[in-house]
Amino acid sequence: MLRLYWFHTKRILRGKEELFWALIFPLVMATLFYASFGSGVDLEEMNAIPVAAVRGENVAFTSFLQAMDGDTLAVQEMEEGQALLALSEGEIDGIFYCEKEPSLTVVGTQLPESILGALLEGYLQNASMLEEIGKTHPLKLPAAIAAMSDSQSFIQNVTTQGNVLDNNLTYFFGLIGMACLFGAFMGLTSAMNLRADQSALAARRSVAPTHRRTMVVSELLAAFTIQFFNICILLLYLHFALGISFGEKWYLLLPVCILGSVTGVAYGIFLGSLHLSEGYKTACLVGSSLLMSFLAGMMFANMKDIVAHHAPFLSKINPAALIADAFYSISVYENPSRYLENLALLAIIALVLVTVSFVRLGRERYDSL
Amino acid sequence: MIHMENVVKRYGELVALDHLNLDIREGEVFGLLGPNGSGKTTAMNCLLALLKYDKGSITVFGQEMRPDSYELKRQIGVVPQEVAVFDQMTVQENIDYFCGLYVKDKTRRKEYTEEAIRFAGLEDYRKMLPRKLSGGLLRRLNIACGIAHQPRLVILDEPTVAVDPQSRNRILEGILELNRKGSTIIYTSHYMEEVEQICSRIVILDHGRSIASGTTEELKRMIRTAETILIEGIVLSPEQLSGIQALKHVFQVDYDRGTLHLTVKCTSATHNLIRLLHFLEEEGVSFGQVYSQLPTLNDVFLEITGKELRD
Repeated sequence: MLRLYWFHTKRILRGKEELFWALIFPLVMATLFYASFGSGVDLEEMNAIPVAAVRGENVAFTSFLQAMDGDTLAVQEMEEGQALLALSEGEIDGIFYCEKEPSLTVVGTQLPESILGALLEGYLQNASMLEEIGKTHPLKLPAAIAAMSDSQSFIQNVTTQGNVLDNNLTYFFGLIGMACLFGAFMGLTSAMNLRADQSALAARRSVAPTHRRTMVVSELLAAFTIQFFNICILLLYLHFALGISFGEKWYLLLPVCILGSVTGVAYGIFLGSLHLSEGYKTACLVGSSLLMSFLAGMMFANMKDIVAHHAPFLSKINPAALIADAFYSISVYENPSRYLENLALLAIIALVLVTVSFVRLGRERYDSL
Repeated sequence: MIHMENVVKRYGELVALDHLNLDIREGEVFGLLGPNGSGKTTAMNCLLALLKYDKGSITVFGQEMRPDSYELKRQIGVVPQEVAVFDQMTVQENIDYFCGLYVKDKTRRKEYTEEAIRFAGLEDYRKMLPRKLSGGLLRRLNIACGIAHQPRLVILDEPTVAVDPQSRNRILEGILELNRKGSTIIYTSHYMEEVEQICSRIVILDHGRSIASGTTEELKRMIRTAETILIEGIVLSPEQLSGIQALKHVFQVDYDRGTLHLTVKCTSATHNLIRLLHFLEEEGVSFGQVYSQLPTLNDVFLEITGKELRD
């Protein structure tokens, strides 16, 4: 087993194409991101977001804004013209219109604006309920608003520690998610080298008297080890060369890197074991990894939150989003619940993919070759 | 040693092996000859328990061959048709790796690897990567990886495809040497000359069926053609052609008026040429070059199936 493990470790390390995608490409991307965004990517103190509230007929929404006034928002009541002037001069980050259909006007796309958008989104999802309570039990409206505010977990989480990240860091977290998934290139090659219906080399190995499990485990372990070191190299590069901070609890990154690497490699094995041409499989790998990374915020920072709010299930099954969010949680939150939730979901995905990999690779007799 | 009985393998509507029976004895060089797509590789993959088959039974060394028959597999060496090595690893590392899948003992493995390198004539290339090797050397590496563990049975699936004549001869000599050292060989090919040259017994496959089997001589005796005479640059009248057709032992005459080639097939291999030349002299017919050929395995295949081996 050890001999096979070393052999495959050497083989992967000499495989230029696999290493390019799994290591060099993320390093290059990180450098380009850094060149684009500069070094303004660090933890910063979060203050209450200054907003204007333009009074209207919607009492429930006005009450909601009043409830949020404090740690999260700094609400000032203004006339529309005055509010627009304040917004254009950068005195406030957004204007809430308390009309029958509440609306928001912002000019930027940074984190404060995305928080304001999410706040409005959260309110609208519960608006009919709040309006009903406002009509029937007006005295209970503040309690209902408070309960609803509790469910706005990301706002809650931000406020508990008082830290928030520069939005640019989201790109790097998405990139780390992508780098983990690009471990799939190694998994893909491993699957091609292990399934007799995929290559002559695999067929030759299948007729050898070495136990199938030994072959699969040695190959997977080799791919996983290298991928884990690839991710570590990327993190070290981000931290020491580009000066990106992951907070004080850096040791919490290791479980994410381990599970992310396993998920990436196992994802590649799953793709590699499909009955498709090698070129098609590679295209699927690159396309799906980039799509998952995009949804995790690698190319558009607010995308992660948009997906989390509009299609929460998607963000729970997207390994890139889970990895990015785990990094985010480590850097921002004191409370580890969100980090642990991400880790647990990632572990489930990794377990499912590894199990599927073993089933797909454990097969030893084929219908056709 | 190997017994395949009534093996049927279907790919949907296509019958790849049609009630195939094979018996391979210990110590022989067994040739499986047939055109591309005749079922040679499928038969070997079924034998190695890589492919499921629909019907029949296969035993190797008296035992049923299954994917987990590791003790049986330990005694078998396989050289696939395609070169199947790790491109990132050197010649020596590749041979050592494949040998190590069969031989656990480190000292013995090193010894066997060295022996395989010497056997394949790869001493000067041991540190080279496969992509730096020529086609012939690559084929030799492919063989070395398959036989390094010194198996009792070696299966070679078209090992000389796209190989230069020099390397081909070396490979064929190497196969005979393996056999002399005690290995039983199964050699599949569509090159009849090679099969004729090295195999002690041959089965001819077509459409997944065994259409003939025996030694080369036995196979040749199965057909009518004992001698084929070819004459170039000859002009013949219909009467003269009829005269040739009437000669003793002649059973088929083909005359191409375009190329002026005459082909005469005879059932006996004695004095046919003298009789034919005598007839042409009497008729005053002039002609160019004359060739006399004994039957080949291609003639055997042609006569049984009505098509050329390489069709």
